[in-house]
Amino acid sequence: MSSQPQSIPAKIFAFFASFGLATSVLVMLLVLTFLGTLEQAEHGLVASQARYFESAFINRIDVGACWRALAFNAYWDIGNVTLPLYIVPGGYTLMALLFVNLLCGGIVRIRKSPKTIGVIISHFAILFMIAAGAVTHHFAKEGNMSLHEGQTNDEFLSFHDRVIEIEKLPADASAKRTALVIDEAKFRDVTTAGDGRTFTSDSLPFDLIITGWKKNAQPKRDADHSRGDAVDGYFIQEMPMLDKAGAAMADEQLASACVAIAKMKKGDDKQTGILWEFAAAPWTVTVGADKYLISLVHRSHKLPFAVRLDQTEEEKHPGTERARRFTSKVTKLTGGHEEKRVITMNEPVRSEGYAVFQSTFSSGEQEGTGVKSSGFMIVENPADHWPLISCIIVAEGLLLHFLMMLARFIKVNPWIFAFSLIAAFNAAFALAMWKLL
Amino acid sequence: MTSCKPPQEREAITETREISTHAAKPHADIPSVTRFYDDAKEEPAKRPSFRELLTWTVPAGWKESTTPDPMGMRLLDLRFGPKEEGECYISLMPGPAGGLEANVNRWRTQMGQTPYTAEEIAALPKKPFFNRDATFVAFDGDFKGFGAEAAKTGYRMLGLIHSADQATIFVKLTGPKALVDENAAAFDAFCQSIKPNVPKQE
Repeated sequence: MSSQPQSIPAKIFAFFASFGLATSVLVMLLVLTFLGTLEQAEHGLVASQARYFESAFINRIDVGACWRALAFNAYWDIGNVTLPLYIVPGGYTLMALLFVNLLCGGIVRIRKSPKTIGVIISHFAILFMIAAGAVTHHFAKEGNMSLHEGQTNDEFLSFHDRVIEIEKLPADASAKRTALVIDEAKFRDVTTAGDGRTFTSDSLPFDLIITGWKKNAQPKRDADHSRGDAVDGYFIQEMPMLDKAGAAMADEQLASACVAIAKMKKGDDKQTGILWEFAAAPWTVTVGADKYLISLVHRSHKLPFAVRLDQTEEEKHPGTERARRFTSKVTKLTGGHEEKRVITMNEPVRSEGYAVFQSTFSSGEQEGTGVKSSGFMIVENPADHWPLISCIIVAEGLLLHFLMMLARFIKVNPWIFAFSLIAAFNAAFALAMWKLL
Repeated sequence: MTSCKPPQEREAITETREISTHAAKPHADIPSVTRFYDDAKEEPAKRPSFRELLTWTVPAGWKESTTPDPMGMRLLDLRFGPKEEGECYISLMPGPAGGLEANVNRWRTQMGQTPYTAEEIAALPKKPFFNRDATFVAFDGDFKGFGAEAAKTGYRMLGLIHSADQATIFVKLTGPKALVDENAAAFDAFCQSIKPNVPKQE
């Protein structure tokens, strides 16, 4: 029997639907997970996630860090060795390939029959889970909001995204306040003092030049006036990103800094200041009677409602100082409507696409204020429940598949057998969840 | 001032945001010292040095050692003798520093002697020191100081220990027995010369 040669589109489809591609992608994901986990020890969670799991391509592997994470340096210290890479796909590309592979092979090409219906359902659920990851990666927002008792706020600060904000101080204190925003991605590559990037706006009487950005730094006093890069008596001291134990500091603990130069559009006047993430107040640029406040801060996200902390409590394990539970009684304010809610550990308040989790508690004693406060983690994720839904569908699909196989083996009607047992399982699961919740 | 090359890249600021009415009111013209929490840092109180707290008279023929002691415990470290084999130093420890008995017996051990009993220690002679009585010791033996590999034979140790709840002060002299005997009077005079450095009233 002669076989007709495959057309090019058919060959392409066959490649994307192949088991070989699926195996290669899964093996590479395994390797990336392994390397990312090792590098995390020195580079931190956020940096490792960005390099291995969120990137289209991986530009290098820190072999030295992986080596040390495996404790091989106890036998042979290879120092700081980096392997530069150019065309190795990152987690983002691999997940996209896996999605295409599963769609072509697991949905389109797979033989459609009663015997494969469970597998097809499971493949569909895995596609849904990959899609949930993509939606979370592109659209989810996570951050923190701290409130003292009695304080109200409707903004939360991103954990990892930094921006420079420029606000013109309004003459009328009650006027609406706005700020120009420059994302950190636009200036974090100007790391040397000699280079700068100029940001302009028609609403500003000056151009803002950003230079000498450092990921983790602290302004230090130029006590002996010996620093050529000092600004207003201070210079930016780069700080290590490893703690005393040699482990990577969490991204939230790092304080970036840069030098900002406000160059007037009229004339050659310049004003220079240091922007620091942990600064107590913004840097002020004065132009005539106007004042502009410039700060390097975490990105603010607006909530569709405000939260007022009415009362926060710490419950301790009896006879100990160990915290058992933090609970916050809050009021959700939407327009003129007030709604009392209780947020406690592992029991967030969900509303309008946002989940508000209790994350920290302070009695105010350490700060010397005596005013209790709560820290809330706020998550906005359109795909919040998608992974749970996909896991349930995967389980149902595999259950259907295995039960039908079993029914055929014991020679009973597979449809009646499988669906009656699945219905029984689901009823038991629903009952258990109802009792638990 | 930071030097900056003429910028080669220009980018328009396109993003704006409305600041919440609940946000903290802005403050302008905050100086760098406040922005960077530098004004909150208090200068640590200057700790007076030992030399500012005490006065003393170095006996004739004695001189200060030019090499720092390895333990860094000696507040004043003197040498005497033709080959500077005689040592005399002052050290100060916070609190009782283990107590009189432990310190006397530590010195006894350094001289290769058996420890004193509590009764023997209580019977040790006293000498006036800092307007109080200090315990005086004099031991002969083979001296093996801290870190020494071999004991020095035919040595003599003189010591004065004044122990109080707040601090314990030691004056210790070691050297070949004949040399120490020659300098015993100088040691007494040196101990008597150590006095608090009271600031003169204007």
